[in-house]
Amino acid sequence: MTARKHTCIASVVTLAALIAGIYATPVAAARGDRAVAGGSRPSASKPSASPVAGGGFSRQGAAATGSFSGGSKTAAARPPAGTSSSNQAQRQEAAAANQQSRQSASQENQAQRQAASNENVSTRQSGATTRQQNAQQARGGYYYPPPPPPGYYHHDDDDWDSGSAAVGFVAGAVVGAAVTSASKQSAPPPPPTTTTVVVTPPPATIATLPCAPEVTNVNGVTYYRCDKSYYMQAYGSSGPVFMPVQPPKK
Amino acid sequence: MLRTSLMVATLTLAMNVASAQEASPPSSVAANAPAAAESETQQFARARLMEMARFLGNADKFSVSLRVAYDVVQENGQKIQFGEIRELAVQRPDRVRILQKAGDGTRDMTLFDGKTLTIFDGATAAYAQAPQPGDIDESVVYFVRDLQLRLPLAPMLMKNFANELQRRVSRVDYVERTDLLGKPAHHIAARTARADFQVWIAEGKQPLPLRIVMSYPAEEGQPQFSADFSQWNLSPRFDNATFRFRPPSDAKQIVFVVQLQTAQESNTQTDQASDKGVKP
Repeated sequence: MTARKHTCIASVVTLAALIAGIYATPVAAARGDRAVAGGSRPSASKPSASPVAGGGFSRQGAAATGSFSGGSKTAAARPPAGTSSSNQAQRQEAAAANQQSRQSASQENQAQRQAASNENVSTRQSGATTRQQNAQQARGGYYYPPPPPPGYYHHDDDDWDSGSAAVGFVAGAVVGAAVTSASKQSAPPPPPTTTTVVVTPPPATIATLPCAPEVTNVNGVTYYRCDKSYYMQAYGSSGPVFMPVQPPKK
Repeated sequence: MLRTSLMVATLTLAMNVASAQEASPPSSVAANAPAAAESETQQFARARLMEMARFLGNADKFSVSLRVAYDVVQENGQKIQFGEIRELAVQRPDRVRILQKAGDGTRDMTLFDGKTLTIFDGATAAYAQAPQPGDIDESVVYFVRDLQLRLPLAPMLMKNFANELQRRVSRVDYVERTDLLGKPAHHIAARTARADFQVWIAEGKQPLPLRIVMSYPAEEGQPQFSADFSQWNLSPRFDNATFRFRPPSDAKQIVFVVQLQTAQESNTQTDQASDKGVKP
């Protein structure tokens, strides 16, 4: 009798464990990091509404932009896999040939447009340098960027929606304009001295923090601390992400 | 009497033929014609494409729903397709609202209210804002190029859409006259420097895009982006609430990634200057 009871209890426990396992799996999957790296859409901070979503797939790519100018200028390299390497090489060769042909056809127009836009860019860069120097004086506080200078957009830039193509100008134009301290906005701007544009690679963002962070607020700015590293949340092309920052200066 | 009737019939027939030729693509198709000298068919295709772009650019306001699908080639080479529904509300000169429902159920919003650009993430209730630089055209460029945010088919929102398209498109071909979901449409294929696209444009007085398929042949895995347009409305009723952002009570404002990056650069440069005893 006692043995039969034990068997019954064991069966119930086993069944419960199985059921728990069935339900735990999709929940874990749903919590799984959809994004892989480089500023992909975070899933931990962006919980999925679907129980079968997740799976660690990236949502970022050339086609996600839906751009008429192409998704990016630098395609992500990946090693060819198995028997498809030959086909892959052929496709790449064909694509390169087509690409070269089309680029050649459009080079003349492009050159004309670039010549026309150089003057505009130069003007914008000059303004950007002034704002950059303003920003260099600003420390700590973060504020949303002022609007770009008047006339900064001209209808002669046909590459503005191509993703990476924009980085050169963005670094120049937004460096100064992006972040200014609200408390120092009234300070007179120093005179522009150079027109150097600093081009830097995109920031290394992460979709989820590596720990349960200690959240601190310094001068109205929220910082997330994991061990000795500080992060701030910011809006990227695929949604909110975390970006490593320097420790706050109190 | 008979002679008069014959003359009228002949004239009517001639007018009908001329009318049909205007609406129909030329029968001769020169597929290998050089890009510099477009064939009659290519000219017809380009005319339909530009007609669509001008029509959209000249629309004072419109709303439309897009069912979007796009490929993302993963690091292991696997191609995964994601989907989303985007509800567009556009009112020139400077108002845009895009409600986005992703395949996983998350809802986001992009808003140009005439003064401020807002992007809101529904899942985290986080949003970022920037002053709006001007009209829709300027704002779209600022949003995509400078703030580096995602806005699929961005030129389609612009008044200057036709020029944006004309500059990019290096080749246009007429594929066929077809029916798309019961609507007669022109199927047109075009190429830009780094993207190929096909667009189905409704025949008739309202040459609206019904579908667009874009592919990126130079990208790894040659991913595609597609959008089906539905519920076109060229006289939608918008009110003040349509383009107003009311953040939820638990919403938090964050900065843009580009702001953070540039702030760090600025701080680093200032630190370096301080270390050298040089005032910025």
